[in-house]
Amino acid sequence: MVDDFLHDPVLATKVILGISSPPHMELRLWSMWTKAMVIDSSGFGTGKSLDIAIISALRAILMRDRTIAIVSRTFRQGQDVHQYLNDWAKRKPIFRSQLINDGGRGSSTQTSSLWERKFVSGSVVRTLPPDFKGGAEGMGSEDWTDASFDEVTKYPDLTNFFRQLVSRVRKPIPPEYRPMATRVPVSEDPILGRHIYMCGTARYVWHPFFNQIKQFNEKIKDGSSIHDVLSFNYKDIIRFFDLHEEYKEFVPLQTIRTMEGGLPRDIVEQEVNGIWTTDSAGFYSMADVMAARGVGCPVLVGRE
Amino acid sequence: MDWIYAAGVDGATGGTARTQFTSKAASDDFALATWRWKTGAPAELVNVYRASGMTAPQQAAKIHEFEAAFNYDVIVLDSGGGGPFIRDELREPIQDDGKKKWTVTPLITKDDDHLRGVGKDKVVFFGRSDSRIKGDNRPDCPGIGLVLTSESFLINKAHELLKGAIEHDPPGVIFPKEEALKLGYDSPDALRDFLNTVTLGAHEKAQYELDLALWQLIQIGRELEKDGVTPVTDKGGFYSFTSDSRKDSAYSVIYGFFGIFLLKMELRVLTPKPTAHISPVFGIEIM
Repeated sequence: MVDDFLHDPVLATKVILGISSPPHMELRLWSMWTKAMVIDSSGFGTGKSLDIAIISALRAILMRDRTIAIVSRTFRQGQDVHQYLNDWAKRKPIFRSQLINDGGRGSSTQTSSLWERKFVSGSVVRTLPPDFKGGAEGMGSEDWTDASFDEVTKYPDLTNFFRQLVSRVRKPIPPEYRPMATRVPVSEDPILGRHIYMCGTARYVWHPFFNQIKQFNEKIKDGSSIHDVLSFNYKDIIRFFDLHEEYKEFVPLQTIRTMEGGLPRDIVEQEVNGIWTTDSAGFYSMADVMAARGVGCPVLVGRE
Repeated sequence: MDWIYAAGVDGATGGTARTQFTSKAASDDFALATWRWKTGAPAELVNVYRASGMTAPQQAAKIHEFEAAFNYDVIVLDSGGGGPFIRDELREPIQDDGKKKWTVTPLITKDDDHLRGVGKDKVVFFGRSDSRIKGDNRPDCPGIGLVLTSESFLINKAHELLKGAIEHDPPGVIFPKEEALKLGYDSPDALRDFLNTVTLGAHEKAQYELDLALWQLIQIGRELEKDGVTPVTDKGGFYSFTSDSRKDSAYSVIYGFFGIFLLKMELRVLTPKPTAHISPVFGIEIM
């Protein structure tokens, strides 16, 4: 049974968590489960946060001695994702049965700098603040097997993000898994190896993170089996509403309609439709405004 | 040639009475943008100041404060909203920002007959009626050389001038490097809310307010017909401009750049090349 779940995250999600996902979320679960490096620019309301919680929980339940990190732009946003685990601990019996007792202290730790959930497998899901103001130096002692980084396009410093956060995904895979990886080293195994998932709202194509997407797409074009680039939006779900009423609970349609009515067109493309846009839809070209910046113009507080 | 400096001011209505204080979050903003230019160089946007909840006297006092720092060659003041109140307060010889009072030389327009010769006539009221814009018989009021068929013509012209300068290759304007992205805000209104809650040094504040102004600028669009594509035009064929976010700082930038244009036109007219015949209206050489 565990082996079935290990090789089918959609089945595991249905049985362990009682969640039947819409097709796009199933695709995302497969990608997050089997690809070592995934970038996801899906739009608002497509279940990115829920899938982060699902994959983190499944890895912690089905695999031993893993440390799975959840990091968002702010600690509060990370807590919102971690809250799914807290909710499942109360409502999902199979999930609850996999949490450790820890001598009566329970499986959950919640402090101002860490939320953690421990499992009988010896694995742990840790949600931490990114500590960008401190240059993320506080992450120096962290060692993760897998990490999900939420809202990466809003991180203030991508250099520090890669240097201090992504580089923490370095924890060795327990040796007992080595025989299971037959064709590649266990650390590179699609399921048992380390995984990095980076998701964030699409922006303009000159945002520094877009370079990562271009690089990933090049690697995929060259035949890479460990990279994936995803982008879904709510339209991928609503077309199934006629046959699957239950999918409606996944889509905050009212909120999306309000956003579509209230935001500029290029922002709707980014936030709602998950599209990296080439320019603003307004009267002034953002590309040209950006081109006119940073060429030696000073900021003055008086006539020189 | 030395740098010439132009200010653009988008005044806040500041409540129904001139001395009434309004809630900072709800009131519209006072914004003042500073440009500079010299021959052979693109115009530079070097400072933006913005604040919420200011009364008309406070706004006028702030303009005088910036005038003392920059010694502007022109100050273009929005004629809508709080503009008329601010114009009146700028004429006062004693300025009061609510914390201190000090004596100034009044700032006036060229149409101010009462204080002519007494005040510094560098204020331009952004509208067809201002002599410096429409032109009159005075040598220092050549006008901008255009027939001003409507008020919407003027604002369309101002937008067109700035857009043209930004899109020119090489750009006719330059802006400082962007810094606000580091703060983690990705929308103008979120950045504005942050800037309203923190106390920053003058230089740092100017930098972030400048970023906010440019973020607001790119949110400005033209009002569209129901098809969502065709811009709405009035009888004269001019556009209406709109934005889903605040635009006070953006408009101070637009007015300020219009001031640079005005100065360039006047410079060409008032200092013609000795060996060429210059059209007094269009500022171009004619045979």
